[in-house]
Amino acid sequence: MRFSHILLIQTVLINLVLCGNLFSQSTFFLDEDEQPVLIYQSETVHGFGIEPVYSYSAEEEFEDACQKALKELNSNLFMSVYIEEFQANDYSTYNFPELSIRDTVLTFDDNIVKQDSVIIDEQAVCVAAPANRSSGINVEIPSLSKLFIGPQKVGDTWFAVGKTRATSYNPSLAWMKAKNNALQDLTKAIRISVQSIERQLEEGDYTQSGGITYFKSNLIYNSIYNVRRYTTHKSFLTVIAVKESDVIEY
Amino acid sequence: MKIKSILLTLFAFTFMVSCGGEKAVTSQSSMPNWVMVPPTDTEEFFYAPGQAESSRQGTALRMAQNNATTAMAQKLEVKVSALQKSFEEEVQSGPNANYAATFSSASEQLVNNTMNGVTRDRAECEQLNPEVTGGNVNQRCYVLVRMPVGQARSVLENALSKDEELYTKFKASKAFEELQNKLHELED
Repeated sequence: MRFSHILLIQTVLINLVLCGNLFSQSTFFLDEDEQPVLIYQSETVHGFGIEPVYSYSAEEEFEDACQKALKELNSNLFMSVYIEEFQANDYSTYNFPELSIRDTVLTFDDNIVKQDSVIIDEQAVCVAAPANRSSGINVEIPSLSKLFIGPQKVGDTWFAVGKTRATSYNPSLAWMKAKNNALQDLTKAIRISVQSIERQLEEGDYTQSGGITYFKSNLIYNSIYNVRRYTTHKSFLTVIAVKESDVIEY
Repeated sequence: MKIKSILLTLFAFTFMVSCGGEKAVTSQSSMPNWVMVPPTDTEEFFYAPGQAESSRQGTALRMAQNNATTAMAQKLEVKVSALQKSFEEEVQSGPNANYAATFSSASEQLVNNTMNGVTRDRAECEQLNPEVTGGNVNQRCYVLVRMPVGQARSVLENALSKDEELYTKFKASKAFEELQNKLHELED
């Protein structure tokens, strides 16, 4: 009887754990072999610059990382998102996202400070932030599994996750791309205009139908919070937060 | 001994089933139930499903969401115009008759809505077998979107105000003036 018990337990274990059918999430966002690891978290507006370390002192790399952090901070203080999509007859799709950053040059001074500098996985990370910190994100951040399904709203704050392919070549740009993907998803959730026309003609046995749908989403964001950054062995994931009061409809 | 053999068979069977079916590589549709029978609208949310296929999973997901969003927009307001014509003809010549009939129907659906708060409620993607599809369109995604009823109400109110705007324009038009004059003539 003991042998049969062991067999039964083994059968259950194989079903539940080894093959992961019950524990795995919906696999459309991450591949099954990807496990997100949290590498940075912050509840305030900041810019994140990252540069692979090649030299012993990493001084130059930190300098470059800080310049990239300033650029990212600029894109977090103001971002205009304008998305146009066309879909014709369910077969063709055209997507034109446009994300614009204000043309300003930020420098480290009394208003902008280096908030953090760390080495993560042999990469120099510099964090730039406004000296006068505005109120941060103080609501509970939804779980990753919830965010994988789509943007979530908690109180007056929207959350979304974006992903891009991990790279060691200009990782700062890849992180910004992940953020832009999250913003696109979020913008469509907050406001979307749909214009659609479908026509059908029937004459005897002859039927002809066709249609075109146009989607437009356009918003301006005043403060974007990169609250969580995760990596897997092949992806960069960033969770962004935006307060409703920082979203401008036009 | 009998129990042992049964358990061994069970072990082998479950191993094959659970591990073999990890990836949804299928040619047949494994459409989720919530696409076939979407959740009933509640006092809190309206729901609409959508699906799409593409060579890339990201595009399939986006297109599926677009289709679901369009379905939501259609749910709130759709203008349908249709024109149907039928024609029948019979020509008799002595004891014989020639009969001809045609029927034509043209319809048009217009949707024009701006919605706030349309988010994915559920999403699933599957990989189709390329040998069966015969091409590279082998990613299929299903999306269920939801929209807070409060937002839906404001869309409906907007639609109503658009009609009022049209009515106001009509009242200011020459056609309305002529109609009023005709009515007055009839009253007199």
